[in-house]
Amino acid sequence: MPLQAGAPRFLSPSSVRKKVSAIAKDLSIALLLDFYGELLTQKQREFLEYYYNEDLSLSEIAINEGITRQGVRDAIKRAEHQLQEMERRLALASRFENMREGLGDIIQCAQTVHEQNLRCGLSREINEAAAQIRAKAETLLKD
Amino acid sequence: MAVKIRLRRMGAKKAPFYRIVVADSRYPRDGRFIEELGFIDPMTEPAQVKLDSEKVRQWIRNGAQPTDTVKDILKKQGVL
Repeated sequence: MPLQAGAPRFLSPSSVRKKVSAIAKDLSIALLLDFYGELLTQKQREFLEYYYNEDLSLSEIAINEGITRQGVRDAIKRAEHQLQEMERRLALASRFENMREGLGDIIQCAQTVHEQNLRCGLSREINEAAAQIRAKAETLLKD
Repeated sequence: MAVKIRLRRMGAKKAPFYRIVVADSRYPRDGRFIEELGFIDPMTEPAQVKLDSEKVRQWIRNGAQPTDTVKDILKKQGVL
């Protein structure tokens, strides 16, 4: 499959989760926070941002907020659970990853068509169509 | 005063990307840090990591505390 070569490979969130779960914090929570953060309460969102985006420890957050470490931990666990539940029902993050992966493949494919055309066909129409496909996919990838 | 080596998230929405930075543990979240030591991109396979190992070792010798997350990355990179 020529589609595999070259472009950066993105992971589906399930494999992201599996891969990063070995590190102490599960960085895929940061991804879920981007998708569903606004559905949490402001406090929950703040705690998760401190924990995952600023890499603060539970005790550091506890000191900053003037509550107990256990209180921070409970709030974070509950919020994580809510995020995972939203992802389980809506799967926005995994769909987004699939789309990103697919668009990467499409860009590769357009590139292959372009190269093949340069080598054998030299059709201007094919060249332009390949360029258009590529440009469109790149636009979608950036959104 | 504790100095920490921690991750700091950069990058766009829906595309997490972290710098590995040295920062005072009491720094507020205004983005200040003492030095940048590298980055990790958890979205690629395998997660792409770039580190200045010499600087990392130097900071740890001087008493900087890596967070658990950073410690794990350092272990995987063979710096610790």
